[in-house]
Amino acid sequence: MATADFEARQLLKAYRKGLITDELFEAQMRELQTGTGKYTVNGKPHASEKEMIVALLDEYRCAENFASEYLGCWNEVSDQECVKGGLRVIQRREAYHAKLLEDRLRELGGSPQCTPTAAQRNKEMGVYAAKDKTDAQKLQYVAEQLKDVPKALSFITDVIDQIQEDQQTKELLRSLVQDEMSSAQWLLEAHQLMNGTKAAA
Amino acid sequence: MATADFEVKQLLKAYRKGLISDELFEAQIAELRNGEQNGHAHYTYNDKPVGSEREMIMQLLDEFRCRENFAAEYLNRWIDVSDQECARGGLRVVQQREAYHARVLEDRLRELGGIPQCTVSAERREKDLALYAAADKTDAEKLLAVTSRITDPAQALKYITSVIDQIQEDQQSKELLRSLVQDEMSSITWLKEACALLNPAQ
Repeated sequence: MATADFEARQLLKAYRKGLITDELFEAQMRELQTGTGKYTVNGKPHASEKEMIVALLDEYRCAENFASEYLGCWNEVSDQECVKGGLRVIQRREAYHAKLLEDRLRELGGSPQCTPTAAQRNKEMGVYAAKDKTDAQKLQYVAEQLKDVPKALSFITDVIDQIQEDQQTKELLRSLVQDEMSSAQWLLEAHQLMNGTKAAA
Repeated sequence: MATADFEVKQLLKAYRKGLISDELFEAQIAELRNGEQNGHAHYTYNDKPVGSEREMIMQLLDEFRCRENFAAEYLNRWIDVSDQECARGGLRVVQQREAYHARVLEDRLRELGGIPQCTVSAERREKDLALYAAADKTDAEKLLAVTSRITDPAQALKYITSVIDQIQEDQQSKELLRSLVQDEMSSITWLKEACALLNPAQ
């Protein structure tokens, strides 16, 4: 592997010139052998492409499952028919994403482990399930979180960019990102409609 | 209703001047009355007039549901015999989209008091399954066949968008359908991209 060869040569040069310590040299050589650090999810290193994918599938599944839950609660208390129509679609999208991600996770030998924290649950449910908050207020809350949509999705797109072997998962994730863009677009348009302000694109 | 009044006056003028026949005058007045009884002008679905907005929506919900259900079925058969890992990944998403669309549409249809009635003809089933479930046809060939049917995505989705444009009362169905159209565009985009990737010479 050309890159690993180059890295090893550079490490050896630096070590022989006394630029790095025995410990650093040893740690870096070990990392090169195991591949640790080559793959990352949310800045956390993973030893292999598969391990990185499994970590993302679980985290993304967890986020989608929770989104499907709180969007369902929002839909039940929605005060606008037009919002309810779009929410129903987004809620079902999130639910099928969670199912598909769990299926792929299990196919790769993983099992669902991630769960939303109690603080996260309380925070989101406190907004979305609230009967005393209007759809307009909830859409305002969502729009604030979607000021930079590509950045919000970077935890997925960064992994897609790193996948070289597992083409099925890569294309599956790429297609789900397209759905996320559709959902974000609808939420921002609905926010603009309900709040009469120009939402961030 | 100003427009209906104007139409009646114009029809009467034309009839009294002998410009239109008794039959045409009677048919046009009947059509106007039919529209008036439902409090709206005219609703059409697939170019056929329907009595009310609700009737138009229910017809679309049933037909769209039927198509999506069948698409979920044949896409599943395609996935089973897919020969490309990258195609399989995208197909799984498109298949799940179609399946959830069918469920959302059926739910809405039932909420409006309807029941699923539309079914896919035996001829259509046979034709589509012969293509998508075929183990001796490549993903590249299937993608070419699909994309050749959707050279104009806007036209392919017109049976939905023309209904959306006519909805004035039922804002929930309107927004639900508008969001599903967005999904359909995503599926079409993916199918076209995958086709181009697997058929570079085309």
